[in-house]
Amino acid sequence: MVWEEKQRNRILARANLTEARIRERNKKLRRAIIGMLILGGAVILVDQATRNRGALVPIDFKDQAGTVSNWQRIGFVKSIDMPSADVVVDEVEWKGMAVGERRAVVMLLAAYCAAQNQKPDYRLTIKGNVAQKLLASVDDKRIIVK
Amino acid sequence: MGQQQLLLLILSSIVVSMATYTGVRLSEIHNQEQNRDRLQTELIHIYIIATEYKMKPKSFAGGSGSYTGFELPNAYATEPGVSYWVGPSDQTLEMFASGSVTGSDGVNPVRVTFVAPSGSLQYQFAVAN
Repeated sequence: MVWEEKQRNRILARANLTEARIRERNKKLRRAIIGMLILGGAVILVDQATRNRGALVPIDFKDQAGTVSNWQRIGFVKSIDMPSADVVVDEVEWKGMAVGERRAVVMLLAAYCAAQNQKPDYRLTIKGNVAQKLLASVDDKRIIVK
Repeated sequence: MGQQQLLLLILSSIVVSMATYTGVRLSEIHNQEQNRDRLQTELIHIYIIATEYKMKPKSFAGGSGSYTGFELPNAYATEPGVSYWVGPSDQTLEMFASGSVTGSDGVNPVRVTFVAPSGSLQYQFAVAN
């Protein structure tokens, strides 16, 4: 009888121990899940925050007139004085652009103005709409993009 | 299914999702970079052809010291999925290339600009998307 009681107690103690171990393991797993979720969220947040915004305006060199009228429609190009090739653009959007995109805009506008004016050389002046500051200029010698 | 198995399943799903996201992003960036590099190489080839054209006299179908009149070679003009634009001025050469892979904005293809200023053989590239 005593032996049986001892055996029962031993079994119960072992079961309790196993249960405690399982509980501890589940607790660790839950912590790991929360940690991984936080890590995953942080990775996505950092990726989104550091991701390059890319192009801000559409550019199609095959349809220059269409692209320029689209820019006028969305408000990026404020005005174009065709004979003098003076263009006024949205300064805020210009500042948000990468250097490469600014250059592409300058190239397209210079080519568009040259085609409209029927001149072989590219000449262009781009100014901001707020301070009327010179943002870019093109002549037969050089291209300045600020 | 026990609680432990369920937790392990959730944990492994999260790890797999994170690995997939990272892998897709890395491959996206790699593809964009590769496409930009390819466009830059092609633009350098076009620049070499344009410089040859500039150096040739007019009697040899050249520009006699000017880029004016230079046109994109046929092989580049008909390349599928990629578009090039060449803007030859008297002493400067401007080029634009648009690739076949979606760029950083997730909508438009990758774009590269090229400028060869006058009086120098140096050129500048800039990524436009």
